[in-house]
Amino acid sequence: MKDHNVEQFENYLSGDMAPEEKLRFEAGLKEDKELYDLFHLYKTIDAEMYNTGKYSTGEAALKSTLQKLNAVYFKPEAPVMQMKKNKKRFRIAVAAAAGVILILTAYFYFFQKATDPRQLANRYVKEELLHLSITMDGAKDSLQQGIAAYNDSAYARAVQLFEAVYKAHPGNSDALKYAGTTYLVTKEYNKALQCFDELAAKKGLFSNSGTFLKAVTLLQRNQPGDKEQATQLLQQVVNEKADGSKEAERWLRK
Amino acid sequence: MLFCFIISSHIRPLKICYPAEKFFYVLNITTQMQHSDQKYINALLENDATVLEELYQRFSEKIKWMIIRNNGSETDAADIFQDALLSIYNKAKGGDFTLTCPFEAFLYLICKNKWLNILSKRKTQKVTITDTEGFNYIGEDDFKLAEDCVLRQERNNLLAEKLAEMGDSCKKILQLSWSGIAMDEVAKQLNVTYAYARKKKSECVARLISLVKQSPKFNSLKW
Repeated sequence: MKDHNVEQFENYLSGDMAPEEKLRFEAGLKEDKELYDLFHLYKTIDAEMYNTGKYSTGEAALKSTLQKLNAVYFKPEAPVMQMKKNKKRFRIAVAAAAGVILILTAYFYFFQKATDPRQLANRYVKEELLHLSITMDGAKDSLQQGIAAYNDSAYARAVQLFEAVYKAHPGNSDALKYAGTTYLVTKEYNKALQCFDELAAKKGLFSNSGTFLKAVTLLQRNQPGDKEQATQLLQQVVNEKADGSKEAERWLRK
Repeated sequence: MLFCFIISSHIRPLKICYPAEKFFYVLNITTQMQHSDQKYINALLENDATVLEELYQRFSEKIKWMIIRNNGSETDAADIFQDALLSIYNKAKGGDFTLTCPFEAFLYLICKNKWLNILSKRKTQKVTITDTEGFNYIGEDDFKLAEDCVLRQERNNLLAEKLAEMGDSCKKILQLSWSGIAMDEVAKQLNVTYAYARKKKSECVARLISLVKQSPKFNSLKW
């Protein structure tokens, strides 16, 4: 890359070139592919850098807004501890921790079977909701694909499919229930509650687990007042003998 | 002189005529229909925190899931999401940016491209990104626009990286001359003659171009 090329480009673009020289330069651009490419590259870089300079204040302000929003909507992972050194001590610590876990597990298994509703709800989510049964209705292709995606832990795709089915067929309460369940297992509790509220409000369904699943979600979310509200909902499920009433009854006895 | 559209219908063809100026205006808006999600582009340009928050509420989860499902972490997702929004901003600030598809699909496409680039740099083998769903309504123009956004951002990153490698005097004169100040003002600020400032700027730009061209990334960035 020669300096005089750039000087020539700048003179040409700023209109500082004499008419004869301008004609020679333009002819050169037509004949010399290398010169043409270089001129094009110069223009691109000049335009992009000029834009960057011109909007740098705006970009900095936007970056600051995005960083604040990132902090709210994305949670960084805990830092990973490096444990390469002192392997022997590490092994002893691991063995001790394993022993403690074993003792605690045995203690809770034999003496603490009567866990509180929140633990039972946790167990319910892990045992009952991490796999959805494929229905036999071949006409509901997207729903089946959603269930398959869910069972494959492809939750983004699953919820997209469930929501699309529900949007197209607002009478399909299964799609709404599954969308809520997906949000529940991915800890999007507020969205899950919206789905289950809507599901619970549906009348005339053969079975409706909306209220029960809303209680499960509240127990999982565990914000102040959630447990009390969940207890009321579980009681309502028992009284109405609605879907989930057996579990609700058992959990309320604990 | 009138120009006409002929619209076929099941009853009979419909002929609508306009004067030339109006005809081309209608032709332009019908061939390049702006999507209502253009509001998110405007929010980026105007740094509108309320609409940007809505953008995060609506779209951040999906991007997070896509990245976490494909060997990434939540931190990776945060970086990609922010970087994608800045890429869109950088493209849009040049003007002439019309979104003709849903923003969600457009953003997903950009994040996916960026994430695939990172995975290929990390030499990760297992990639399961499936994106047939939701891409039906992305036209060829939108795909190209998304690719332009990513390329433009990568070109900017490369230019910034190479500019940082240059000496202080070059950095100073280039930054001043690209800040929109006229060259005689740049010369004044640097306490040199106008002719010297121009010569020095040319030398520095030539140096920057050489550095950029030597980069292994140069050829893939479609200048």
